[in-house]
Amino acid sequence: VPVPVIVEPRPGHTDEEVVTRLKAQSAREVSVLSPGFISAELPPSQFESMEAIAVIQPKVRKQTR
Amino acid sequence: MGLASRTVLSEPVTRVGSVKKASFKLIEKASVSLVSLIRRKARKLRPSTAARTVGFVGATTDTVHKDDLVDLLIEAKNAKLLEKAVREPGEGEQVDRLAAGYFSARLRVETAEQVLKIAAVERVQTKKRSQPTLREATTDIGLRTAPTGPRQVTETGKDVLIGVVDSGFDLSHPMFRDSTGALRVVGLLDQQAGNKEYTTADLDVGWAPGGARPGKDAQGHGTHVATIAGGSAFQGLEGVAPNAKFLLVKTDFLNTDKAVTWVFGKAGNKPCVVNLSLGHHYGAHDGTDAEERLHEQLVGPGKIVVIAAGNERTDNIHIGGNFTVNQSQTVILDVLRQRDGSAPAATVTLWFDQQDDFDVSLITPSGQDLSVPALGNSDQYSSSLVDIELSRKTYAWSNSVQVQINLGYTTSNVPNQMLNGWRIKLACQSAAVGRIDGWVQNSGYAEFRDHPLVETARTIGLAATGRGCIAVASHVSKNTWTADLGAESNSDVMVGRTSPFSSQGPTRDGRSKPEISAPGQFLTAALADGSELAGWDERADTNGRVLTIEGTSMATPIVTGVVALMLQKKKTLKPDQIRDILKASARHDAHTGPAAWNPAYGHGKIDVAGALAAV
Repeated sequence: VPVPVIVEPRPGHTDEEVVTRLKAQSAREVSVLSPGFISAELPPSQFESMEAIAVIQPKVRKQTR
Repeated sequence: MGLASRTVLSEPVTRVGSVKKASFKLIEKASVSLVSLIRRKARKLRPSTAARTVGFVGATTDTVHKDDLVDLLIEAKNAKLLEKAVREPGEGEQVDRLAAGYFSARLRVETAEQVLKIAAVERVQTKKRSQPTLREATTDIGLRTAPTGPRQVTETGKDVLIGVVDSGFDLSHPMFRDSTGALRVVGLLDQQAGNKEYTTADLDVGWAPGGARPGKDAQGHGTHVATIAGGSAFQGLEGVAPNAKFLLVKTDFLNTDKAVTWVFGKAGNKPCVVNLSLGHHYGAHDGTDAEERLHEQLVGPGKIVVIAAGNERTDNIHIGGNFTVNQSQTVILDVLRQRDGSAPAATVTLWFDQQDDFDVSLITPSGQDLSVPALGNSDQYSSSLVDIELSRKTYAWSNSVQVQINLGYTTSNVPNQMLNGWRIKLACQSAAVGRIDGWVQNSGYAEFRDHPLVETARTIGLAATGRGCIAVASHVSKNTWTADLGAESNSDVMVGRTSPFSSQGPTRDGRSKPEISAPGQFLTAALADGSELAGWDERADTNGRVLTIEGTSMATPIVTGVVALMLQKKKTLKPDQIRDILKASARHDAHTGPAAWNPAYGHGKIDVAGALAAV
């Protein structure tokens, strides 16, 4: 099941490259939030295939304060 | 990353414990006749100037008369029917249209009774003579010198946008409309409805009587938060920046990164401050979380983010301390049942410097010792009741090591002895820095039992630990309020002191956060009609459409509103400039003490007049 993630390109890799790779990995809802920060929904099984070019952080559920 | 999977646990099931944390009280309300309410209310009044101007007129004795005048807010589908009912207004009677479906009326009690019989009238409520308001908060921050006095500053948030990312919004509430009845919301994004966007025109249609109510607030939190920051005047209530416009996001509580990006994108070149009365504790607490770094990038001149510090000071979700080599400690963790009946789950993350080395092991309630594997590895265990994952990895953003303990139960039907008594053993093997800190991912999932390592310091949550935001603590500005059950008070808190729940700083890397404290207990603002919080009789005044609750969630929009006033005065203020001004103008008193910064109050209590004078 895809999970919401923030994806950050590693040094030497571009947003465009990472977006292209994400889409090739069947990621959904891919959007560049700001240079260097890409939001996507990606199956955890695909994380490892992205690790070489990007750092992936699953989004965390927040609580009201 | 290595992965070993073993089945090692077989715990007996004996009995099921009781729910540990109470849920909100949801009590079916008795049906109360509005006429009886009107009459009861009128009987309480004595003739006074205040009564003549904002409340009832002519209630001169303990008995109410059919000719007495009463001020009402009426919601009606069919304006013509309402107008027909008051076609020949009596002396002193008046009906004014506020917006589509909303009318302000001063009617004789006898006429009001006739209005109530009109099928097209959906709701009638009396206006309040008293002011159970933000007033103590607004005097506390220097916005007014007396609760009912005039504002002390000329700024009202005009031409500034306030972004609120929260549970939803009851846009039928007058606090979202200006004095002409026009909606003050320029856009709404509903992340719980497929990221659907709504313009003001869409919202006008959607919130007309019988509409779909886009962005509806089922919980009640977002409505309250937004109207503290920028609510229009309503029965003595007024937000801090009542002329600002709103950009609202009903969030799914996951994609808050997209929410903030959306708000700033919609704001364009206009000054904008985003309020996040949300948070969590899954992260390094040092400002390096991806969302925190995103905020750093998004903010800038005229683009500010304000975030609640959190309410976890005494929730026992944090452990931390300094170790010498060969020193070890064992803390006990109890997993909590979930209020929604879902299977319990808890994640604990532990963080220490890469120069150090800690052995960490998890000891199950039955005494089985499971060691956290070496760096770069993950182990998984399972039983019929619980899945366990233990991992250790490097965290490059701050040269740290992250140890993670995941406990995921397979059912909600878990005996107490399998929830309680998990032990985490920490043994320092190498100590260049020597400090280790750990957090449960959020309040309500698990808690550490009392232990010297359990700290109230460093309970400030993410993303408030980020460098790009203003983090807000809460203090008490009043301890009495009015709700459906009548006059309420809380003698457990002391006006002026820090709220006992308000999460404390500093950050794990020692930065001074929260930056500022604002009134967050007990704040009265708009009540979302039909929301979960509307069922809380001790806090909701359903007839008056106001709610009194507490939290750093409520303190945060006070600061958001003040920032909106500052941005009105100077549209290009940068986050650092705002931070410096709030710091320099902060108020110190007997409660804060003279220190330039302390973990509970930050740099002190916010002072709106002082802050604006410094802009």
